Amino acid sequence: MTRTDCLEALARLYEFLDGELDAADAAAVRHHMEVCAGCYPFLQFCGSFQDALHRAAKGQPAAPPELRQRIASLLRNEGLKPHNH
Amino acid sequence: MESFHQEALPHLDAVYRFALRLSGSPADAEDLVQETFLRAYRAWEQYTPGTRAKSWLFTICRNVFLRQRKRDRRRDETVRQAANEVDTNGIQAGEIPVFTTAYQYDPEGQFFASIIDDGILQAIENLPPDFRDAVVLSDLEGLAYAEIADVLGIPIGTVKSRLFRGRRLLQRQLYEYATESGYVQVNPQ
Ligand SMILES: [Zn+2]
Repeated sequence: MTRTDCLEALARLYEFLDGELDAADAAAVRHHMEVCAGCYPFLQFCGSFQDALHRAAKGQPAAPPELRQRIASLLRNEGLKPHNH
Repeated sequence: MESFHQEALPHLDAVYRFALRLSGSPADAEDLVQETFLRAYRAWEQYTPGTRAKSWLFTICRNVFLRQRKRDRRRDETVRQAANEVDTNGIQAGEIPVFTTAYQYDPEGQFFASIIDDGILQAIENLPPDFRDAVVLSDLEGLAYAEIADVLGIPIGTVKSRLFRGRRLLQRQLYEYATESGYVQVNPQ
């Protein structure tokens, strides 16, 4: 494993986890991570990190119910207007 | 307009949260969301079905916000200044994607699982705004890099480096939070 391989894999780790790499690049990063003892833990660490963020995302606050109602009636009125464009 | 109700309205909560971060006040956020959905509704014919309605709504929301700000000269300058502080540095060779202290303490990152949702969300809010926005749109709202670039009006390379550094910074804050709350016991050697 050359140092450059490791540096490249680590620089692209988040792109890999975010599904932003094309198939060939993703395969290269995955392959490196699977065979490199030095890099594999980074994948695990960042994976746990992102799992926690995704879990917390579900606990985010919702819009106030009154706002939802106001927008619904706003759109109803807007839909009744004659089209003028 | 059935499609609008099916594709756009489910994102109301996400747009509200986005507006709240932009405007900083619940009342302003509600006005902003209302205006966003009204504009989106009127422009719905320009929306390409199947593309992500969420990032489209975020972009409209941000545009409405920036236009309103333009009426206020001083605030507008602040916004423009912030937009010009573009992080032009890419990711440096050899830059580590993790907060090293936490990584060395717990290489599997198990302590992240012990932190409550509110602790994580609060730590994200405490990030510097440029980093926070990128992390929120990616990790909390699930946008792709290209969508984040559109919404924030920055190049994709900047999205990448803000995520890279913002996440490392967030790991540091979460590690400190976990230490303070006793989830992580640091034993003096
Ligand atoms: Zn390696």
